[in-house]
Amino acid sequence: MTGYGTDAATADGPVDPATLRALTRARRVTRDLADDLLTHLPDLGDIGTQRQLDTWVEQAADTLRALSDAIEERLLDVTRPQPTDDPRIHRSPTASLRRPWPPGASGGPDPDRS
Amino acid sequence: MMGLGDPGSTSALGGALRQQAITLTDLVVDLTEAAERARRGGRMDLSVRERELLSSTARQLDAVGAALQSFTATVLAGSARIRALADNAARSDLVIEGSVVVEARGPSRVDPVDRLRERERLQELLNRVSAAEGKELARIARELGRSGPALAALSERARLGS
Repeated sequence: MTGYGTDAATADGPVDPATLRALTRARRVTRDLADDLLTHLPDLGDIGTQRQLDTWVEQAADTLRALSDAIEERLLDVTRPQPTDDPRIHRSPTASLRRPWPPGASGGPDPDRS
Repeated sequence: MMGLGDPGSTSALGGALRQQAITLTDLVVDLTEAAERARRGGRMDLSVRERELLSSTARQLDAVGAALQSFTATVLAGSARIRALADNAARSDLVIEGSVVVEARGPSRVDPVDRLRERERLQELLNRVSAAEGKELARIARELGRSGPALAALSERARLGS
């Protein structure tokens, strides 16, 4: 099972861990239900209605998969680091190497001078 | 259609669908409780759309599951009824072939008039069994015809993020 950190944050603050857990469970369960649905082989005994039912079962499994994917997207959204307006905070891997220039100033070094 | 199909398999699917609907509803309850806690803590409710999609899907699965279970119950009751009618038919040297009551082959000691009367009576009862099954089958077809497009719309909404 893919894990999602409980320290995820949105622009409005950290995401509630219980919400993350519930979304994670919903994502997994909906996927499992879709798989389970496709294991059934009902036989109605009437060709026309049987075809209708077979098509419906495939559609229902597709909907459950779409729900799982949508919840996955939601989880990615809420666990994705949010951009910040503070120019001193960067999310890139080299963020820790950057410092305000000169110290205490709001801007960085002038690229034309380097 | 009497005697055709596999009531066990349709019953299994119907039961599974209704159970899946319950499972989806449980997920909605979990998400709702988490959302209420988050709101109390001043956090955003992040699962409004997901809860709505899960609830709508649950309703569709439950409706079709219920129709399949109702159909199965009717088919099983019909089968029991047909067995009882077959016993009655045998006493008048009649047999049930599919959805028709016919005279058994060979000579019969049953009075021809009584036999004809009994044949008509049993045929009428057999027709009621067929009609009940046909009605349930039509109900399934209606539910599938209504639910299929509804599920397709839910799939589209989930994928479009709307």
